[in-house]
Amino acid sequence: MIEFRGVTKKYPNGTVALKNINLKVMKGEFAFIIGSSGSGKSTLIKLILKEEDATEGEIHVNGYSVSTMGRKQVPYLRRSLGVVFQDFRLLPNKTVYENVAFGMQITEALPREIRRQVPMVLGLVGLSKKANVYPSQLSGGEQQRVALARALINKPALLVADEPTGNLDPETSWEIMKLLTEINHRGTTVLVATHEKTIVDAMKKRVIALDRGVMVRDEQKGIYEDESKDGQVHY
Amino acid sequence: MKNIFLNMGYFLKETITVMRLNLLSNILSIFSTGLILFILAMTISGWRISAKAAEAIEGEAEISVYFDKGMDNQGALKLVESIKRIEGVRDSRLIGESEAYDRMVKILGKDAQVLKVFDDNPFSPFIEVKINLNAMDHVLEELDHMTGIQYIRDNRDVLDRLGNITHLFRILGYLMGAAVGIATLVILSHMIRLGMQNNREQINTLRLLGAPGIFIAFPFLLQGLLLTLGGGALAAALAAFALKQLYARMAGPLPFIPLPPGGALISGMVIVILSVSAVLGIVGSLLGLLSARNH
Repeated sequence: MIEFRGVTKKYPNGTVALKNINLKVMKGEFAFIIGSSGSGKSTLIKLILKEEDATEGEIHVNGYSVSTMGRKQVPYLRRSLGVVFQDFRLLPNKTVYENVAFGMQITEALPREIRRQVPMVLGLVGLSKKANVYPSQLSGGEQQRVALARALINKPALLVADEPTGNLDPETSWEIMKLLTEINHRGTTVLVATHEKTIVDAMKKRVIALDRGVMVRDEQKGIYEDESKDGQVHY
Repeated sequence: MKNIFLNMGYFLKETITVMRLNLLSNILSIFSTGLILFILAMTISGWRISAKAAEAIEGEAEISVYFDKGMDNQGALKLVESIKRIEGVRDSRLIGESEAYDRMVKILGKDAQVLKVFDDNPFSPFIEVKINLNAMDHVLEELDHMTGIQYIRDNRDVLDRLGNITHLFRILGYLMGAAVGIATLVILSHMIRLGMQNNREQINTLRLLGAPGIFIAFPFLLQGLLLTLGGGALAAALAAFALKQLYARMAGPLPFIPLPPGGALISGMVIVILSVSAVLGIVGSLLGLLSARNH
């Protein structure tokens, strides 16, 4: 599903964001990418979405060879993924319905298919009654649920979320995590970049920890912090 | 392509949203392109009117060839036939003394009384030669080599001036066309670039969601097209009104100026202006999109 082989990302200003990352996320998994600010979480997500290019190494996502693909292929890769951002990135001039429908419109879906699918996904995230309101009229949690609905509308095999709870209060954050878990139970692979200790510790899912661009830990049913034998705290 | 047709409703809605976000600048753009295109419409119409007048006057272009006084009628008729064979001569005809006199009476009207002062007919016979204006130099050169010709009155000054006026209108038309084209392209590409700058964040989101370039760019392309078509329609309406007024004012006091039929002139102008505005709209939008992408 996702494979990083010896991936390094160096920015033009000399900053090394990721160093020799080797990583495999299999179909149906739920994994957290954790680490403090500047650890390389967002860069990793950007490489998956081909927002940035790797300096070295190979990346494979959903059957696409991301490191070698041409520019024209990029939209196809992105459409095969569901993406959720910390700042929701909803289109402010479109209603909830239109925001979700947009994900299907770009895939040349037939209008009748869109009319059938959108209410279904809105129902899944509990926003059926808010279909005709604009994002500015929704709370943060509701906006993130719209973003989730948009990410799910094309039934992606892989959902990538970059700090999905970063702008939400704890209670709403849990609602979103519950939704992500439910989505994962339906067969979608979920990869979440976060630094929410409480959530990571409570969910007991796979944890991939980054520290200053280096992968320091990859544990099944991991927790946020790891006190190793030397007494130091590792992410 | 399938994507564009399937989502035409979405694109139109999106275009209206983009235009609504900068409503005032969009309205001002329609007015400014409309006024620029109006100037182009009037120049093109002036060009067509002057070309028609020049064509009519060119058709009347003639020179008068006076032959030796000793030449008899037979000799004059032979000369007429020789002149007819010159390339660029449309017709030549012998005008006798009495016809020359009658023509002058017609021209002078009431003042023709002055001709009665003369005991005899003061006019000489001559050969009237109708020519193609473009071949004037060649015809005059050929006539110079002919024997029996005493004097040629060629009205060259008048004919040259007419040619210059037509030429001037043509150059003015080209210059106006270029000026209008450049001005419209600059205004439009700036509008599109500005629109894209204002929507930069949204465009980035669309890209991350996997929207293809054409899907993102098409509403902006439509915006450019609608702006220039709006300007074109405004220009066409203003120009049609102005031309109707011009025809109404010229028909009475200046009936001798040959004008092309008003209806045909206006409908032709409307087609040209709308086509030009559509082409400028597409080209201007593409330039704007290109410039926004490079920034």
